Amino acid sequence: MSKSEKKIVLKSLDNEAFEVEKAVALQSQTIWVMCEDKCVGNEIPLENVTGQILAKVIDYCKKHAVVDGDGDESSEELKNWDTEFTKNMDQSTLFNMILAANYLNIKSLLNLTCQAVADKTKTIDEFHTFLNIENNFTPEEEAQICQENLWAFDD
Amino acid sequence: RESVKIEINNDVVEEILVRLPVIRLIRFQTLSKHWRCLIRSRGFGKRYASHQKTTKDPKLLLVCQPTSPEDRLFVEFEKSKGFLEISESCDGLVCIYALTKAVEVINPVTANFEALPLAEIQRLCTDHPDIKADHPDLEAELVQGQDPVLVPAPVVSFTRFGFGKDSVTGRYKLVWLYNRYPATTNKEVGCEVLDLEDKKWRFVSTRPLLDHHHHHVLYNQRPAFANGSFYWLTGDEQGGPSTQTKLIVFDIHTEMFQVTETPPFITRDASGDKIGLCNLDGRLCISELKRDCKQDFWWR
Repeated sequence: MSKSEKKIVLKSLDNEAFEVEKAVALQSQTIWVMCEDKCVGNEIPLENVTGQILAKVIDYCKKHAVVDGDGDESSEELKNWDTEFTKNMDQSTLFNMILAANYLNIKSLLNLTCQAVADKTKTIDEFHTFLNIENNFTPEEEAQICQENLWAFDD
Repeated sequence: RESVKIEINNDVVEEILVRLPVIRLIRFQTLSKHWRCLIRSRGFGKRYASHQKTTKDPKLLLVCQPTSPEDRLFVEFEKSKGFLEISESCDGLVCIYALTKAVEVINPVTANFEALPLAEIQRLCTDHPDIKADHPDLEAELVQGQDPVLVPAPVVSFTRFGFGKDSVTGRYKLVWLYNRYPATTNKEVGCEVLDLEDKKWRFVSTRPLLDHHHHHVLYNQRPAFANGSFYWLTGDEQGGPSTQTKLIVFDIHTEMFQVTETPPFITRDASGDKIGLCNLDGRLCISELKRDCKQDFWWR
C-alpha cells in the first residue's frame, strides 16, 4: 500500500483541510461508507462540520484509534481522557460536537457528548438559547405544568 | 457570539434527554409541546428506563415515619390499620397497601401515584366486625358467614400479593393468592388479579391447586416474580409451614396455575419456613436453611 492510500484528507465546511491516517478517519461510519463506495477520492468534503469542530473530532478519533483494543488500564485512561476532553467545552461547542458526531456517525463520540450536555445543562433556557426549539407554551400552561410537578421545580 | 440556532434532529435531542437525571427531565417538559408529549409517552419512558439501567447505581426506596416536618416527603400516607406493606418493585414502580387499605401504585421518582380499588380480600377484612372494632391484630381469628355462633375462624390468612410485568403485552399485574376460611368446595384458595390497564380486580381459576391434593398457600409470604412467573410455597390448611413443601407457579401471561416439586436439593420433607424464595438478578433463587445452619442456594 502506498503512503498516499493510508492517508486521507478531510475538508471542513470552511475549507480547512486535515490530513489524517485512514484508520483514524474510518471510525466515522459516514466516511467509511464514502470510502467503501469509492465515490470520493482521497479528499472528503464534510459539508456540515466547521474546521474548529472537525479538529476536535479528529483529536478524539486519534486518541481512540491508538488505544482501542488494549488492556483494561488503557480503557480506564481513555475514560479519563474523555472526561477531560469534554470538561472545558462550552454548551455551544458541545452541541456542535453532537451535531458533528451524529453526521459523521461516530457512536461513541455521540454518546460521550450527549452525556456531557445532559450533565452540564441545568436549565431549559440553555436549550432554547442554542437549539432551534421554540417554547410554544403560554405562561399559564407553563405554570400549570410546574404546579403539577411542584417538587421538581421547587429549588 | 453567533446567534444562529443549531438545527439538531429530534433523535439526537432524545439521546440527550434519556441521559438527564429524572428531576431535570421533569422540568424539561416545558421545553415545548412536542417534547412534553414525547417525555410523557410510553415509548420514551421505556427508553429512559433502559438507559438508566445500563449506567446508574441501584436506587433504594426508604419508607419511614417523618422525623421532622421539614423532611422532604414525596408521598405521604394516612394512618391505616395494620402494617403498611410494600410490594416488590417492578420497573421502578412499587405498591403500598395494607390489609384494609387500598393499594396505591407509586412511582417514587416522580411521586406520581394511583389508587386502586379494594380487592375482595380487602373488602372482607374491612367489613369484618373484628376489624371494624379497630382490632389491631390482623392475625386474629375472624368470623365469616352469617351465623354469629360459629367458632371464630380466620377469613383469610394474610399473604402479600405479587407485582410483575407481563413481558408479552407489557402490562403490569398484581396477583393476590390467599387461603379462604371456612373453605367451601373448590374455594379453599382464592386468587385475584388486577391488570393496571383495567384497574379492576377479578378472580382467576385456582382449580389446578385443588385437583389432586389440596394445596394451600404458606401464610405471610410474598411471592417471588422471575421470568414471567410468580412463585409461592405451599403451606398446611391453616397456612402454616408444612413438610413436603411444593412450589405454586403462576404464569403472568396465561394466568394459569401449576404445582411443582421444589428442586431436588431441597430436603424432601423440608418445612416451608426453612425455604426462601426470591428473585436474584432476574432469576428465581430458592434456598434452604439446613439443620447445621448451612444454607443451600439454587437458581434458574
